Amino acid sequence: MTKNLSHEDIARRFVEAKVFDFSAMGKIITELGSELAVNDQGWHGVNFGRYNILACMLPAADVARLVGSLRTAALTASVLEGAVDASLPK
Amino acid sequence: MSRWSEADLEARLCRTLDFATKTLDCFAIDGYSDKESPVFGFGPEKPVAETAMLVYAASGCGHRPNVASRVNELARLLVPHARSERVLIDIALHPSLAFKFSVPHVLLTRLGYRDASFDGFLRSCLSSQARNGHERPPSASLERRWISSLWTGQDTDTASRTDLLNSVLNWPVDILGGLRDDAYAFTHLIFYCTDFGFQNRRLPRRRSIILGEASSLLARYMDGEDYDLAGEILLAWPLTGAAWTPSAAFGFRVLASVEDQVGMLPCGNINVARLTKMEGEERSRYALGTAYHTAYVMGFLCAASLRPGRLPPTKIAGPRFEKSCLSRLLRCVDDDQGHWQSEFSNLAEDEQRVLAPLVLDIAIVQKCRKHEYEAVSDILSLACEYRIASSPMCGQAAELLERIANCSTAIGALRGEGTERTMPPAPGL
Repeated sequence: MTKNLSHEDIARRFVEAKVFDFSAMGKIITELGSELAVNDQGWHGVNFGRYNILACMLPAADVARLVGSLRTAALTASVLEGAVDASLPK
Repeated sequence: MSRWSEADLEARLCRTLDFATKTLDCFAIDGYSDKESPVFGFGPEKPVAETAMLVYAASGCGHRPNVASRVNELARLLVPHARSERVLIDIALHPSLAFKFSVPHVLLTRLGYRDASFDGFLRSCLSSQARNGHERPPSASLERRWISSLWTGQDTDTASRTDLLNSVLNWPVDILGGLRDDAYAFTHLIFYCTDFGFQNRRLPRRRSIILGEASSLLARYMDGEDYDLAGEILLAWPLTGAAWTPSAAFGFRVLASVEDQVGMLPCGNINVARLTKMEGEERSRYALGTAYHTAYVMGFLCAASLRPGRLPPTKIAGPRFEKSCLSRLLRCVDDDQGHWQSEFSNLAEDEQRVLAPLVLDIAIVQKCRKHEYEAVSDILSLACEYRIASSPMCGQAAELLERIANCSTAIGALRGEGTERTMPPAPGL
């Protein structure tokens, strides 16, 4: 936070000064920025056994990292419960 | 105010502890190797250390017989892995990482499972000149001091203070642009600083400010269905002994509901198509290897919430924001994103109105994720109109938009175009 300014002050300052079209920049950033987002691998690219910094963290699968359908996610639980023959819900 | 059922939290914790037994059974000797996605592989140290931390955290509920029996059983299972030949060799070869490899040993020692021979060996390695020959960020340094203080019983307050002052608990964490590692550093600093709720150490900034940032981080990761991080972030409330805010109480409710629907708290790392094709032991190991950590997080959260006075509320209570404000914010939210939405729909209207600041943060994070900055600007205007732009998310989103506008100017200059906007001077560091 900028010194002596609250978050609300910062937001208000921006809103009052707004004279910019963000659409074009959004497109440029979408084109160039995705590379950085995908590369969010940092420390967790090296796990604990290989001398990671922190013991307890989960590596990122991809940029979205969505669990998605909970019914589909339940397949993992069913596998772990020993229901090897469980099939994906229709 | 009505509180979450202790019996329910205890049952969830016991389920996680049972899960930990399976995890040790599968991975405590050889870890997990994933040939298709090596990043998901891990050595045995990881699940052993994490299980030891889970057991240590759960021991705070040791007065509950169901928890105590599982804690003791897991501790007994951990002992040979915590002090294995492999661990001894690792410490001998890497004395600067001695405490890292000793995490399970030290935590077991605190639980009463001592080993004087291991202590003597560890002491001898820590007298090596290379004992401090490893560079660490503040969160890892604090972890080392935490384990060291548990082992020696000596206070490390002054040195820990220095780590905290250099960490993201003292400097605003980058909510919108930060990497997951930054969020993990934030959550782990709270784990170690509070000794998983056993100590009440002074935080580097006011607790309310840190929890404000935790709320905005929660909005980002809960909406992203990253329940591993969302759960770790939620731990900030019970571990610091703070009252559950409406956003945190709702976050807990979402995670509990997701856990109920799935059977465990799911993570986003599992490739369901791959899982479906696998068979037998390979299938079980893949499912467990990718899922166990997130399941543990729910156990940590329930253990911390079972401490005296830290039960989450069952109702979302607080100041109610204007109906028109919530309604306009909800129109800015993608309705197909995040499992929080169905839980939100189930709330009474009064409870929904309390959560307008959380919905605001989520709307901002969704638009930023898609680089729809014009929409972010509109949302900030709306927030200012209703005087609810007080979250760190709002402040950082406004600064992000200012940087983007200045970036446009800089790009224009790079391309030899005339500058349309004068950049403000850079603030002092």
